[in-house]
Amino acid sequence: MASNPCRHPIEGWLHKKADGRLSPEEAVAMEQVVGSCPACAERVALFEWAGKTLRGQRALPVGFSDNVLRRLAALRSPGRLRERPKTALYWLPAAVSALAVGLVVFSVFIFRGRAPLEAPSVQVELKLAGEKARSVAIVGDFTGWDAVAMRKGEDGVWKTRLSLPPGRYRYAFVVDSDKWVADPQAATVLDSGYGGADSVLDISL
Amino acid sequence: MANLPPAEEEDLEAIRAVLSGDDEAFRPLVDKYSRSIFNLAYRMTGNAADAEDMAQEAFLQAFARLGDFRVGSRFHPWLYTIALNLCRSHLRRRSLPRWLASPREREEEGREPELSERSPDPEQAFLAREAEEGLQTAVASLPVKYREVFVLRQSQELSYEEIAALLGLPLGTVEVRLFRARRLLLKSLEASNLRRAKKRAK
Repeated sequence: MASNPCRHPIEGWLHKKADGRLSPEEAVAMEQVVGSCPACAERVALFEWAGKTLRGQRALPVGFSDNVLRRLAALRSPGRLRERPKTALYWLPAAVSALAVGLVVFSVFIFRGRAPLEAPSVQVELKLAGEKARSVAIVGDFTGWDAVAMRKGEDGVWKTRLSLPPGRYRYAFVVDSDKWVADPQAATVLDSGYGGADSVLDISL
Repeated sequence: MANLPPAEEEDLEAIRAVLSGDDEAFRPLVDKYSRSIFNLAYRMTGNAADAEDMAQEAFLQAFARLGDFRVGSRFHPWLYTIALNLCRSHLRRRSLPRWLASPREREEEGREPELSERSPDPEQAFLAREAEEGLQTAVASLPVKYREVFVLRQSQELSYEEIAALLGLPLGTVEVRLFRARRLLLKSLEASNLRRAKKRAK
């Protein structure tokens, strides 16, 4: 059964049913269709199976929290919690929801712009020497994996300066828009999972 | 602060403790939300190993940026935002042209058997696993914008309002994306079912 030759609006019904918005009349109509149209019955079964499977939550391997806590030790605790003045407590219920939406929307805006506005940053210079290349770019977590061109100094070394808040970043150099090269000076190199290697930059304050 | 629900109150106390220098106080936050963040990343990327890495990164970033967390907002949505951004970077990076072929990525995606270990019958277990891999492949083939709404709703069971707030979208957009995601998913599942049935008939 290719597309939907039976023309029953089963997808619309399933969508509404999944969100608890199926009207009683629609529910009756849907039941009738399921009883008479095998293709639709199959679609319903498939959809409901998918929903049930997706609700299942996979367990994390044991030790996840330990690993996170261990890695935390490499990062310094950030600054003070920003408190609103105590008088705001009286408007707390309304203020909480407004602020929650505001913070989330604000955070989304910050993340779209790649760098958090107020976290303290550290200056870092990354270099690549000994490459006979027409161009070298850097790609990484901090560029959103877009290629950013590096500059070749008079000493023939390709360089780029970054200003980054604390954290762990993966990156690589791209030579002549074509060849991915790990940073020979990186202290840590990790398998990228795609057959190559990512250099790792750990920044702490 | 008596007006906050107890779960949020707990989170806020943990956050205060971390900010006054007690790193261990971060652990209950990790314990509480790691499964949710991990499952979000798994459903978004289709790869459990990557999802685990991303979940770790999300908590580390949250820790590093804890000073930016505002009293009165909720920790879980804030954490979701961080995790979603990590997923987006990851997915964008995966779509970069690489000289290592995508067949390997397809091989890695959805190769996760653990959700279907209920059945002792090996053939049934195999079929269940195959079906789940098919499902995860179908989810992973949804366009990212649809996938986010879909995963947040189906796997994380967030409400329309919560999804709208998290993604900065109007409710109407959330609904449209969800409907399209469900429709695409259903078509994808039907097609792969058909392929499997044909293969078995041979």
